[in-house]
Amino acid sequence: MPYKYTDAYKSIKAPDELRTKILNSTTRKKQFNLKPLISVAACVIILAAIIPTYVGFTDPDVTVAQVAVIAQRQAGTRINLDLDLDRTGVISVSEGTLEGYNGEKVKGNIQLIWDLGNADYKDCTLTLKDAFKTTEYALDYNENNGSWSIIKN
Amino acid sequence: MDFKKSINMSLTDVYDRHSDMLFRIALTHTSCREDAEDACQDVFIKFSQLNKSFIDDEHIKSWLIRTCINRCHDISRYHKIRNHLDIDDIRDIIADDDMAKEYLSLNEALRELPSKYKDIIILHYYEGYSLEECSRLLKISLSNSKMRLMRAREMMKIKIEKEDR
Repeated sequence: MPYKYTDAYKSIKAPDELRTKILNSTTRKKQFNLKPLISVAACVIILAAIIPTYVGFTDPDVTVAQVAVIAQRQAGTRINLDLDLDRTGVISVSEGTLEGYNGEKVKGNIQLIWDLGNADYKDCTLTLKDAFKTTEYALDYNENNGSWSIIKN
Repeated sequence: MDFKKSINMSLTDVYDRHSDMLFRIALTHTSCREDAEDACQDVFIKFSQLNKSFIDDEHIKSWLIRTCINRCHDISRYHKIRNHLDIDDIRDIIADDDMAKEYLSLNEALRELPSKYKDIIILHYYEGYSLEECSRLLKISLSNSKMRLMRAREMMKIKIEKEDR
């Protein structure tokens, strides 16, 4: 029995309207496929955010609005730092301690007290570490006018 | 470095080459014109969205057949009541009324077979694939193909004998 009716089977044709239906529905689907565009847009946005930072277009990383000695003790010097960070980062010091700061990530304007302890200011560096780089600043004292500053290494 | 050859065919080309074959398979499998059209539509839409390289036209054809059969299985599972085709369903898509009557006899003979037996009968007897080719298309072993064909023929024989009484 299975050998019979092969000609009848082979004479079946797909209906004409099926062709129109299928080619129209696949065309419609392609027009509304936004996924590739969204992926490209996301990549462009990410690259735009990373590239300027990576090649150092924004500079400096840290501006020191004010460095002032707020107290001098026999044991050491306490310095008032008024920092403006344009990227999120972590601050650390080579000598002494940063009062009011627990090592958390910070950004924008931040005021800290750097207690130098027994350290000589010439040995003191402040480090800012963000997602892209680590920047060191030296503490500097101008003996001529008695002013303090933070200088990028 | 080894480069795979790949064929680039538009959806229109693929449709024009293979739609009749796919529709025949789907119609014979589902015994319902609407289901057959839906199955074909799903297969071609899936093809149009596919991100895959095909080596040649035979590779495309194999993919289409396998996908169509799987889709027909899904449809059969969903439809618990088995459909009946009648001559009005196929008059516009077949050569003439005599052919239509013959095709309806064929369809009736296969209608109550389980899906996996319909597959082997359609591919082997009506699409002309060897058992080796059927096993590759259906992703089963050659011995499994032979077994399914044998059981399908037994079931059809029993059905015919019952009808002849």
